[in-house]
Amino acid sequence: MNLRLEKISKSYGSVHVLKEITFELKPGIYGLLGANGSGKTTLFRIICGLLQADNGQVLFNNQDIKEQAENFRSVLGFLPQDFNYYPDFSGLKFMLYIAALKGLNSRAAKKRCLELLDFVGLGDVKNKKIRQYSGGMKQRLGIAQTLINDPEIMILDEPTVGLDPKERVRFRKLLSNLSRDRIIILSTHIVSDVESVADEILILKDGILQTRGTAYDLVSEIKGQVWECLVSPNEADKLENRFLISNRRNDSGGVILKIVSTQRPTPTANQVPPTLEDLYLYYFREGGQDYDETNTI
Amino acid sequence: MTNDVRKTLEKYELVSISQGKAQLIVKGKEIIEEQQICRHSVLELLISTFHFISLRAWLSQFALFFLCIFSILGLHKEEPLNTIMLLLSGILMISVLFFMDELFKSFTYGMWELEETFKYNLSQHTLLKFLIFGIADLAFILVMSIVCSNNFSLSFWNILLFLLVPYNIICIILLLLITLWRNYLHRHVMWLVSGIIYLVSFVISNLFNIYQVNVIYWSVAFVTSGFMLLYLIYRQYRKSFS
Repeated sequence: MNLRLEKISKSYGSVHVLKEITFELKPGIYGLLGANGSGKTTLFRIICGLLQADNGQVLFNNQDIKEQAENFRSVLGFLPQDFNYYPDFSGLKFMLYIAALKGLNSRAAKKRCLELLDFVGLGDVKNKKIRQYSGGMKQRLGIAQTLINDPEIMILDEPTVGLDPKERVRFRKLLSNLSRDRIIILSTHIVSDVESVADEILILKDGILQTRGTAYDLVSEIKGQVWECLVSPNEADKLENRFLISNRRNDSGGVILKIVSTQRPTPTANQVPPTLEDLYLYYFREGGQDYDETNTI
Repeated sequence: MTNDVRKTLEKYELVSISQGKAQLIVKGKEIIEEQQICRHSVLELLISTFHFISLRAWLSQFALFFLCIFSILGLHKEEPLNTIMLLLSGILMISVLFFMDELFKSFTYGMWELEETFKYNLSQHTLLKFLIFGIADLAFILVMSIVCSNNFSLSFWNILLFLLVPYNIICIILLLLITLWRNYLHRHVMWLVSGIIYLVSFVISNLFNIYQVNVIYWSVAFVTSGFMLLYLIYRQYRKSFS
């Protein structure tokens, strides 16, 4: 099983949202990282067939998805960024409705829906109206509906939005259990969500696929470039103007700064292991801003 | 097979090959999955579409139906044809609008994006809803015509034509609106458009006394609008199920 994108481009007027995106995915979990407006949602909409690319094609098992539209939709599970629902429906009725549109026969559908509602922890509230669900419960219902047809491809656009930390951990566990024999792509700008579950991470910036690799590989790119130092508040302000700061926290002795820089920012700075969050900041620093790192303090 | 042979055979224990069994189960699962993907049943979709139409939509239709019957029975026998037909056309238009509300539910609640990615996608689903509502409205029109022709001693066929022509026209306009602006169309726009159509019909019927026009012209209008409507539905069907 493979999903291949070949030179996908998309523009809205004069704005180029996606520029010749090419990549291939095999079964596994893929995290698509990108800042707001980087083209993640547009890319997902193209993969799901909701939007036509200006150029390029999406191939599933080496065949254009346009030529196998219904078959492709049969193996697709999609969670849109703004997951909507019919508020008058109960959780179970909503799932049965989706199951019917996904072509499951009614007997199998009911069994599957009940299983999935239990799986996402909504079994006890299955007969409650969705309007009475909390944000996290709605999001879990959204995730459950993607699984009804046991999809081979799952596209999850910002699936952790609205989930509290406990629910996010639960979601990550759920994803790990699902990953075998399917391609799961999830987009987020919450780095910790993908760091622990994604087999591979793709970084999308300004409509271009900047890089891809495992979290370890990607983080290695900035190995030896992340520093931590204890400075006075005054110094901290000066450093913030000159370096890319990935974290700042107050300490009894002053301010502890975490800095991403090719050279030691202060004589007292110590090298620390980089994290994916540091890498994310490195790629998505404001306006691609370059810092004047020529002089150390 | 004699009893002796049967008894002899019963003594033999058949040893199952677990590996072969496992392969058979895997193969069976693959076949089921493949069939599930390739299976396409319009009838099944029609049944489930019917099943998920809200009870409120049907109740409002029944309420309108009874309102219509009581209005017809409550009207004076000598009431001008123009008044009767405008009243019936108005009720019919409201009935269409209530159905359109249900038809547009996916857009009103923002579910269209998700529904578009399902095996039976949004346009297939919407088209079947349209078919169900169309049949219900035709039944509604038929009953109205029967009751009206009995009560006012008017020709059943004439009343049927007087109702079907505006029905076709409003369906064509609303279907075109759905096709053109489905993602942006709000129910208020439909109500507004329908209100304008009714107002225009009211003015025209009062100015030109259209119900006195020769039935031939009504027949031509019915055939033309009917063909247009069927063509639009066919085009949508081809697009959805090809």
